[in-house]
Amino acid sequence: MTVVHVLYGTESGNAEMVADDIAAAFGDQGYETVTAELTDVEVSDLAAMQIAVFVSSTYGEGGLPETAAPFHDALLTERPDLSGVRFAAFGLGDSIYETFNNAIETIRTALLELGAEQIGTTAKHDAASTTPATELADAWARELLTLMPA
Amino acid sequence: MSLTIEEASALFPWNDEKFRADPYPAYERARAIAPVHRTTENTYVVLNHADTTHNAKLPCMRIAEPPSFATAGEHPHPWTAFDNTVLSKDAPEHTRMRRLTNRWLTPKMIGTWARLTHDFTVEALGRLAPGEVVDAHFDLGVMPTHLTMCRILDMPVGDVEGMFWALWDAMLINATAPGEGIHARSLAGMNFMFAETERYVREKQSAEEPGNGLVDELLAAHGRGELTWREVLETTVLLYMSGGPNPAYLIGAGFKLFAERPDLMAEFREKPEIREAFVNELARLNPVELIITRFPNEDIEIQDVHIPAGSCIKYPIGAANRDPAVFENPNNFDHNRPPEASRNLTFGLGTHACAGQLLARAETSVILGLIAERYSSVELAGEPLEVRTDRLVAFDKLPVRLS
Ligand SMILES: Cc1cc2nc3c(=O)[nH]c(=O)nc-3n(C[C@H](O)[C@H](O)[C@H](O)COP(=O)(O)O)c2cc1C
Repeated sequence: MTVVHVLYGTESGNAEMVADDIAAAFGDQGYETVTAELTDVEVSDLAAMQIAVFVSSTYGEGGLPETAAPFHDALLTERPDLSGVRFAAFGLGDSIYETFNNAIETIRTALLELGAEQIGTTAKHDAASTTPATELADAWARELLTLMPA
Repeated sequence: MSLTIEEASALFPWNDEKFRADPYPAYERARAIAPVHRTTENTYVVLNHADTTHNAKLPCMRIAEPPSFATAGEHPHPWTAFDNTVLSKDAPEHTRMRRLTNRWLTPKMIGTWARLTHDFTVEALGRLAPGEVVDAHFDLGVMPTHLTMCRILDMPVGDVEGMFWALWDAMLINATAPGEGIHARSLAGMNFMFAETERYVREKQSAEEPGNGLVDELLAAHGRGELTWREVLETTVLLYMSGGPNPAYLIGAGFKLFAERPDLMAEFREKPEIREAFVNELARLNPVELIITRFPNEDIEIQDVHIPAGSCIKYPIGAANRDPAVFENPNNFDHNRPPEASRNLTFGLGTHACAGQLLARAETSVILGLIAERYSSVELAGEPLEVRTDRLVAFDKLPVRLS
């Protein structure tokens, strides 16, 4: 059975909540899921993951959350071959910032450069909208489930 | 129609008791004339919800007051005491300071803290004799929420009433025109809060075993040389002081509403699924801080009014929160407003939005939920007493009988 890794970077816990929602959606469909904060993930472990869902907010002025930055740095320095990895991306941000959802783009760019393949669309939650992050996470996860290999 | 500065200024009698008690008719009159008013050489007032939500959170809207606004002769400004906190910092320093508390106020942690609020409230209610009059503001608003914050911080309970009024005094200086004697009174309040808090923090610092609260984390960061002593102290005062008084106003407003509208109390009891929207509507109609103030560091234009860099822009929260362009029957309590017509500015917005708002909302919901579930009615046992400036409101007394 495919193990789905849900990996998140957060400042104030919203991405953590979204990661839990996504893991629950996959769990409900019988997938085994592992949820972890990016600080607890070794870049060297990434290549062995079949499916990794990245969830990250944007903070400061378009920056990565403090818990995602070291992981991103390590990706760029260690440059693992990720050609066997399929990933999905969910960002959280606020459209008032010109740097709306920069962080998930930063992470995506690095993963694509290292050969990983993205599945589904990049979700971008907007804190200025009236849609709760949980709602978008559920809808997006359901969509993603339809794209999963049988 | 274009008003002179004098005419525009007369629309906002910030120090008038009647205006302070009910500024909403004045906001409506002013809005009918124009959405933006220039009320002094370098002060502008913005009234519409859309203009406020768009502009108040632009990166150019700095929170730090430019030196040109300092009043001569009265030094130091009492609020310089918070110069090393999120209150006075803009990015990137703001980001660093905000990170100190983020981990403690995540949606997940809020669940843990709200259970504490629940237990503290149950204890307080358990001490009440049947029919006894209780101060819903202090005993059921300030206390359970302050105790919750004490657990988050791992701080002792302290002199809650003394600290409440010290904070009130300290805040008085932020009125638009504070008046005689306020500077000294504000400074005294500030000094009291800082002295009390510093004493407790020093005690924690010299304790054999570190505690397990947010303040212990700040102290550890100080030990590693990552935070200055002032940063530790100022952030601690800020959290220690705001845990009770701010949510208490919202909670008090809920008690008043339950007393006036038993039907709404029944709905709150019977439909837990409406509680979040209910508390949000309570917040819309009852902001605690009444004006967001910002200082753009670039020239900007709002509704064709050119506002030069370095001006002061006032965004009265009550004006935006009751803008009829967004809220139908804006003065009515209606928790069934659609999501796009329920977003209010009571907890601010953007980067400087209240970091504790999830906690305040959860605490309010828990306390009002307990009241609605355990009692069939809330009755006012005397006139509620409020204290107000144009910038801030608090309850003084809110005697109620629960049955
Ligand atoms: C201090 C601060 C800075 C922020 N900077 C940005 C930003 O540059 N771009 C963006 O899209 N969102 C920004 N946001 C919005 C957050 O990404 C958004 O609130 C998100 O839901 C937070 O998720 P988290 O709790 O997982 O960190 C910022 C929020 C704060 C409080």
